Amino acid sequence: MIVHSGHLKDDHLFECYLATRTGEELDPRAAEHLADCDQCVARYDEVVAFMDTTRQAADAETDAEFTAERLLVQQQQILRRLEHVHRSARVITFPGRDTLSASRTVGRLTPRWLAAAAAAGLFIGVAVGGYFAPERFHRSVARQVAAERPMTVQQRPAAPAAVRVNTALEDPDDDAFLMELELALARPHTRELQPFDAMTPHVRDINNQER
Amino acid sequence: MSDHRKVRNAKPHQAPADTAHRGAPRGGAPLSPAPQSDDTLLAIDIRALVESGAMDEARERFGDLVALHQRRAVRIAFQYLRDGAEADEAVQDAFVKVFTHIASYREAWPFEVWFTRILINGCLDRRKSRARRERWFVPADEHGQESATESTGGRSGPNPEERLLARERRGKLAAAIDRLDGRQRTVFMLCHYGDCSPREVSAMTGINESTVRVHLFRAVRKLRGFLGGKS
Repeated sequence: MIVHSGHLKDDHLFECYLATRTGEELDPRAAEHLADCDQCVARYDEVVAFMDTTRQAADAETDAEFTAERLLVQQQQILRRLEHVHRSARVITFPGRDTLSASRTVGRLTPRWLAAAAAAGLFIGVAVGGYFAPERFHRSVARQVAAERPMTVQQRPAAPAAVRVNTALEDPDDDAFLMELELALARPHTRELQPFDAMTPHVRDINNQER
Repeated sequence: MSDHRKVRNAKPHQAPADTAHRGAPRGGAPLSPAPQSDDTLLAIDIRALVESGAMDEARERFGDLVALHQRRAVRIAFQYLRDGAEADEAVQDAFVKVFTHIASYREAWPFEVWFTRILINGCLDRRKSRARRERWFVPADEHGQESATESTGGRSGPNPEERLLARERRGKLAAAIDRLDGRQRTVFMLCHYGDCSPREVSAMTGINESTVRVHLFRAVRKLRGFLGGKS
């Protein structure tokens, strides 16, 4: 706080500005002093000019970004969104009839005996193959099963630390996911590295200090 | 980021039990009974219409309320978020939220206070979420954004040099505001850009009125210091 001997302090000047702006009553002593002291009046004018300049700059910027047309569009969008508030969703009827008629037409086009012949052919083929070459058949099946079988816990490569946190992947909320990720990464995972982590400053801490 | 928590978790001074329960602003004491403003009366009408089930009429009346507060809301949101599209969304969300929860509005607070609180909380949520995103993803090209702003603002500027200087000034001011402490920023935004009195800001944020005045003074002093003026 800058103290001006015999003059109004900065915070008093600012209170005067606030009172003038909000229509409150001015402190009578401050008002009296302002009426007599040119130096304080000049300082008061500086405060007012600064506040007015910042306000005008902000207004100009906002007006440039949000033109009258854009505001109108925004208003319409708000009203459009409101149309769906407090209104239950419309249930679309399932097109049962259409599906039935479509399957009927397909059924007419493809004769039933064709499907039966295909099924019989497949069954006979598998049976004959299994009868004439059973070893080969079993080997190929075993190979296939082995390929499809998931890896055991021991075979599986060790998951990195970040992956362990990815349980939130199913969560549609990105923010929640990122927050979990941050929390997980904020603490060290490897016990041996913990002393080093404690000694090393974190970027986030430095940023917080700067602020 | 800390400002968010502070505004949200602000303890009510003397909030009456019924209003606190019904979802009215928790922070700050209700303002003393004053003649209700037009927007407050309009909000009360809309609430009555919603409660009686006359939704179409309520929506129609709400359009008037939107028109009354839209410009101010856009100014606050844009200065808070510094991004046109995001400010647009924040304002829309705030209005939709207000309409959805209009039944919980209590006239102990002016409508403006209630609405601004909802808007500010939305903006703070967005800032928080953006800060988190920016820590993980590469930020978008700032140059493109600036040129977009310039192209929209270019119509009114009299000459390119002046436009450039004005843009530079605005950029410096925005950066200076961004350097303010969370509470100071909120108080400055609401008082200076939101046209709120310290008393209204106190009701919105739950901060004591004299503390609001101190925060505001300090914010202005800091800003003057950052911008090369007298601190």
